[in-house]
Amino acid sequence: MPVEIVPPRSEVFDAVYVVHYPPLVRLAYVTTGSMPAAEDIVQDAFVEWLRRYDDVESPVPYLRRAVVSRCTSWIRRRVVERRHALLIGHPPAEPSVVASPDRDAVAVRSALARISPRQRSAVFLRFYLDLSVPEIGEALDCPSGTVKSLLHRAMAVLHRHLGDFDDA
Amino acid sequence: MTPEPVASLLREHFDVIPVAPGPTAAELRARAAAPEPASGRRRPPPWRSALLAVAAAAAAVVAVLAVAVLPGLGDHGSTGAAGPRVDDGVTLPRKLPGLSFLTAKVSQAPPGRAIAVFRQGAWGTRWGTTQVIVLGVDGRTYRRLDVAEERGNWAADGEWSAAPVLLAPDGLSAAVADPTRVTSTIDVVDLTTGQSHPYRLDPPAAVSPLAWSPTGRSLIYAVLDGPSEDGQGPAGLAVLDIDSGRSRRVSESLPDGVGSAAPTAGSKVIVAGDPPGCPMRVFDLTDGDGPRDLPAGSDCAGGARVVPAPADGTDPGGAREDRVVVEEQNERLRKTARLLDIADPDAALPEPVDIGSENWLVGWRPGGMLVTTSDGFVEIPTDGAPQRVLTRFSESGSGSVYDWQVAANLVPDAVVSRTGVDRGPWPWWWRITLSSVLVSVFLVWLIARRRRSRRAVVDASRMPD
Repeated sequence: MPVEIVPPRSEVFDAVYVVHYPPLVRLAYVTTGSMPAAEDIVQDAFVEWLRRYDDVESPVPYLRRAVVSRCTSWIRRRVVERRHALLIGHPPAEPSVVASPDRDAVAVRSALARISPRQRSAVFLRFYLDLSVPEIGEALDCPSGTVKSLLHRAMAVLHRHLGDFDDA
Repeated sequence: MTPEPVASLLREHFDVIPVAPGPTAAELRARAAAPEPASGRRRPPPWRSALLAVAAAAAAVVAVLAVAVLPGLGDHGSTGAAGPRVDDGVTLPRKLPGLSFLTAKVSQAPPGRAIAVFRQGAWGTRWGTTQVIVLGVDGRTYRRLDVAEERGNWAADGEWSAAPVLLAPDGLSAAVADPTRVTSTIDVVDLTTGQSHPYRLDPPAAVSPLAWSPTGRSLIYAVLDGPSEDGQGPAGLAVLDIDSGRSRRVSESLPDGVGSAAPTAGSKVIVAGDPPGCPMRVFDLTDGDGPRDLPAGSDCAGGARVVPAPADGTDPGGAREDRVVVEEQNERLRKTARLLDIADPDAALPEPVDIGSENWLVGWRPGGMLVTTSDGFVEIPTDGAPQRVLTRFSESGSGSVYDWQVAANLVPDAVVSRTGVDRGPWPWWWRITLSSVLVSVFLVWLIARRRRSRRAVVDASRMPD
């Protein structure tokens, strides 16, 4: 059923979309490793917000949580697809890669590849969006203790790998 | 590398991720306004996961309830109304099942009218496995007589021994008394309701139940001079009237003690000494005359034991009031069983029956003596035909069967049949254990499923270098 969008609603939507679309796409990309998937996920999240506009009190936290949730679902589907591809003899589809010739960027990408998608989400929310632990917990739908654990373990891996890189 | 440079590296890395301009806000608004596509992969509704969780929890609850309730279908409740009835026939099982720790208690699931009571197991009741079992007249209902097991006492071997039990001839009740200590009551358990009625002893005494009257309205018991682990020793004789609840002393302490006693259908009680003695003594419960001695049997060098005769006079001599069955042992330890008529020593009675040396006389029914042997519950025909095993005791290694006694008035009509086993509702400890195991298995499965799913997600979604 079509949703009627009244002018004030559209203004709010436009403002949030302009400001938060790029960081949310980055969040989705860091989590999934696929830019096309990241764009689809974020756009779907915005569309879903519009459809539930009256139920959503805080759009930005809602969008963060929606994006993380959709990323998780996308990854799960990809797991199934990869298994299926292996079963029928096709090589698994590789996620698209954003070209980064910079040496630091390569090192960071390599380090990020060694932590889980959920840990990547937590790291992104913490160090790029500067969110607090409770806010990250809200986005990841988990308690603060879990967020601290995710960050601690992720940073241990990143330090180890980036430290090796630095030493080299 | 210090934390701050790492954070800085990450921030710089995230910041340079190129993001192509997305659709305009207007385009997204248009998408939102358009109806959702009907084809393609349907996204599961948001309530589905919640519904699945509720369904899983409900399944676990149903499993637990099934464990708790389904075995209780055989629960006869506290009324015993659904228990086996004598109208449906009296059945002896062809074979007794082995010992089970899942047999329900009489107080929790009464068996109804019983055909037999026996002990089964090894060692004692507390650390060993011995149980006091009541067998219903349907030949398949088994219950633990918990009153007897709880009223027991520590024996000399350090094991808990259940209190002596005596099944009424009509199979409706069982008397439980304690000769090992001075107590103030004799308990009579109503097997149709599972309720125990205490009959007061005044003064308190160590007592041993001996025999029910053929009508089941009086209980003959020995009043020991002092507590005795095996119920032996000098003792007097008393009769408990079930209807009035009053006990009457029949005799003062007898030096020989009271080994066995058998009331007749009339008003007399025949008592054999302890150790088994002959001659026996006769007490009249009505006229108060002193006891008189019965002459010993011709072959009673090894002692005698008396057992009540059936109330309906089904012996070949016809219905007589003052008859009992006597088990006598000769000097070669060979046992015979014979019918004894106290009132008419010249009555025409069947010839004594040889019942072997290791067997134990239990009762009488038309055409044969009923004894327990190492094989089971056996009928030895009076016409010399080979003995017939009625109920074979289990040889599963779960402990022997002993102290077998039957409802004297019911056993003449009993038929032997292959029956099932109804042990009643499972004990709560077993239900709780099984429920816990089911829930634990379910939780382990749930956790393993989630971990496997998460691990697969992590393994398959590493960002490419």
